[in-house]
Amino acid sequence: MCTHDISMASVLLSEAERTFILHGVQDGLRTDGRTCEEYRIMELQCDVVSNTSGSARLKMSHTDILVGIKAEMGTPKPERPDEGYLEFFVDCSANADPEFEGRGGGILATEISNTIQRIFDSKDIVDLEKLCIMPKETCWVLYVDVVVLECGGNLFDATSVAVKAALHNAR
Amino acid sequence: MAVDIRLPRKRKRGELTSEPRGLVSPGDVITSDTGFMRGHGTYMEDDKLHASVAGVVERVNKLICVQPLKTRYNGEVGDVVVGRITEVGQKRWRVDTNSRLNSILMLSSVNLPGGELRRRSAEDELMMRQYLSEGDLISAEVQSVFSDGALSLHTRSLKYGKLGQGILLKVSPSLVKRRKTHFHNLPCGASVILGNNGYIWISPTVENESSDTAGGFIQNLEPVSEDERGVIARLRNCILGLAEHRLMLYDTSVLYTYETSTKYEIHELLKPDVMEEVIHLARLKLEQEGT
Repeated sequence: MCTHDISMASVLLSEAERTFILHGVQDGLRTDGRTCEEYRIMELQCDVVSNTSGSARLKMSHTDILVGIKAEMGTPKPERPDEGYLEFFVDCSANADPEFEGRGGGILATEISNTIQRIFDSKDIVDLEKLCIMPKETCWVLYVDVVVLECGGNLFDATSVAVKAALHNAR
Repeated sequence: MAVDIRLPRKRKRGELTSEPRGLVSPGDVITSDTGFMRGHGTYMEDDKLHASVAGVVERVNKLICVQPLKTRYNGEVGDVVVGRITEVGQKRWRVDTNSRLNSILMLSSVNLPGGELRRRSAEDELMMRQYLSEGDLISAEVQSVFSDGALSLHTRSLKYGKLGQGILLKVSPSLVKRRKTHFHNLPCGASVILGNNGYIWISPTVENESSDTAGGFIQNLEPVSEDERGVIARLRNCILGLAEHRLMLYDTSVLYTYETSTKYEIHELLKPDVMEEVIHLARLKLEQEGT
């Protein structure tokens, strides 16, 4: 977990509660019975936003992420002339957590955006060469917009799964 | 590492054995008779009585009111609540109890070390933070209700006080049945406090009931054994499942749900269809017993 100044959803805990949770994590049995590596159930729905090329909505207990992808023409980056590219924008909406009001969500949003950018920069996930129309002149640019509707933990995993689903859904 | 991803499902209505009579939604006309007095949750329009909240209509002689299904906790004197300290003030603590206003715990309403009859001195005020600080959980009883609706709590019995290791759950206050006792030592090996305000506290059972240190001063921070931890995790999933299916929470319902859930792994209970089956079996068992 990356550390940042604003905690994702600061919860008051007593010392005993904190000790109990930490001991559980050390033993490999968390408070809801999962091991340290298990995920919660996710609900995925594609094609939810009509005026986009692809979209997905992922719900994982209290976490809700909405991803929309718009494809536009643009010029390729100079260091990669025969590849298209993806542009990510993450918005932590104020609905997700009271701390995200105003500027609050900005730091977390940039962190998620940078992480997702690094994850999806690999050829195994998206074949960027397919996005090229004419080398050095035009290519497809995929603008990926992520909105965090509700913050219930594990934003990074949820966002990456949602983006992957939206990319798959994009024609 | 398998990840379970599924399509969203429509919220099932669940099998309703009998829909409670008198369910209204906001705007519904309750009666056109003008002889009734208006209670909470109603308003008059065009000489007709309408409901302003979603709930069940209750009629006491000439008074009609609507008890809402989802509401903040409205305290009554004598209720057992579980609360979290949010603020340490002058001679009092502010406690969050899931009600409209934060509750108050006065310094004179707690048990201090050294006997109950000690007069509260100025030093006690300064030592308040050492006893209860922000974030601590307590179990307390409602002593009185202020005129604005805020509750005044007290922990003047040995069974109340600061809570140690365990898990806190939040459910709707309307799901906790009012019983004689809210402290249950379940035979499966854990203790449960069903607070009237909807805060449920699950903790490992403390063996020695004789606590010479009043009200949990010295906290036991030793690691809890894995079996007890499993019991607590299972209870947590069961109680949350009961809350999601809107079943009343009391010791018997929790226990039956726990027993029917033992055939599944704890983390399997997190799946909605598994939980539905467990709740269904528990509900059948409850109806059989007639409780």
